[in-house]
Amino acid sequence: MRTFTQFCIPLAGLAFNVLCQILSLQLGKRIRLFQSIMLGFAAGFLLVCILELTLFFYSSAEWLDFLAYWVCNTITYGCLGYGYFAYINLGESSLRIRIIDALLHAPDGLTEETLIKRFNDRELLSMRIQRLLDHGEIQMRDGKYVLGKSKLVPIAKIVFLLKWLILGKRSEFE
Amino acid sequence: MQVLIWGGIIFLLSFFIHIILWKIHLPKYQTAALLYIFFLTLFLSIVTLYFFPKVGELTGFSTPEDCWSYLHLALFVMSLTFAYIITYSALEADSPTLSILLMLNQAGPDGLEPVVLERFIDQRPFIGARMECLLHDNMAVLENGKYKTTPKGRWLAKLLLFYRPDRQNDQTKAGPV
Repeated sequence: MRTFTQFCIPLAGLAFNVLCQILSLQLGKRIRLFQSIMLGFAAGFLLVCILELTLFFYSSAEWLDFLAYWVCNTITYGCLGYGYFAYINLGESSLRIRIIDALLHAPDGLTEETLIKRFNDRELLSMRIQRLLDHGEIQMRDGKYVLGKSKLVPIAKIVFLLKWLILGKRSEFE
Repeated sequence: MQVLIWGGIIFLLSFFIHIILWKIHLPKYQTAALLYIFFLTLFLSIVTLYFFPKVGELTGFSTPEDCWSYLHLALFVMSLTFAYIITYSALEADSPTLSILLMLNQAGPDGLEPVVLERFIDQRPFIGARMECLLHDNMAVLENGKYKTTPKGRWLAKLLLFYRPDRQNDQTKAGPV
């Protein structure tokens, strides 16, 4: 019974995460997509912790066992939550999915010129730069772009380090 | 405790197999290859632990006690696997945003003129590269000079866009990365 409950805890956390995320987005007028994702994730994590603690207090489990299950289920829940975030975000941010979406809306297909016109590299650049400026990641100083208080640079460094370690190159264009 | 330890061991074992295979030869379909490696290792490990519990005694760790523990172990490893594959897709393709940030980071306090960034992007045709990926992954085909979706591409797009049925096909909705 205890092992069955432990198996169910991260799944219950994910279900609660999805429920809270959808409800907060539908009911909260001022809540944006990203905020709803964070809210859902926090709610799911809270449920995982509450269920783990409840199980610990109502069973004769040793604290080391409880700690191991808590770590295991927190990691499992974190990965499932990350997967849900990626699922929601992919349709928004993935260039590949947006190109496929454009093709879905054109039953006769689209020529390369049309696609390049619609998903222009320069336009893509200006859009990304504008977004980085809006979020304070970069700043415009004396006609030059400089790095602002960036939270994404450490992530970028990790991503490029992993790319180099696993794929042996720093860029897909190398 | 067994789930955490054996799950960690199985995931790390799969990861090292993947790294070794990647160093020998980079597969054509990397995501599919990753799924094969991680799921096959998980399946073989569970079979070994179930039918040969002495393996546990040899390593000093007891094997999972019942079927729910084995399912829990599978869930733990599968969730780690999917999280890794999602992250891996970010390694396969360059993110324009992260590329810009790293370039500005390298430039230091002097920064970069807009024209330098434009030149940088011109050297990296992201759109063309993504189109090639779609063709490579059989998600789109080129027929009579026009790109069209394949059933695989349509299925995947519908699955991923299901969450936002009301969304417009609009480039301005792109996310931060």
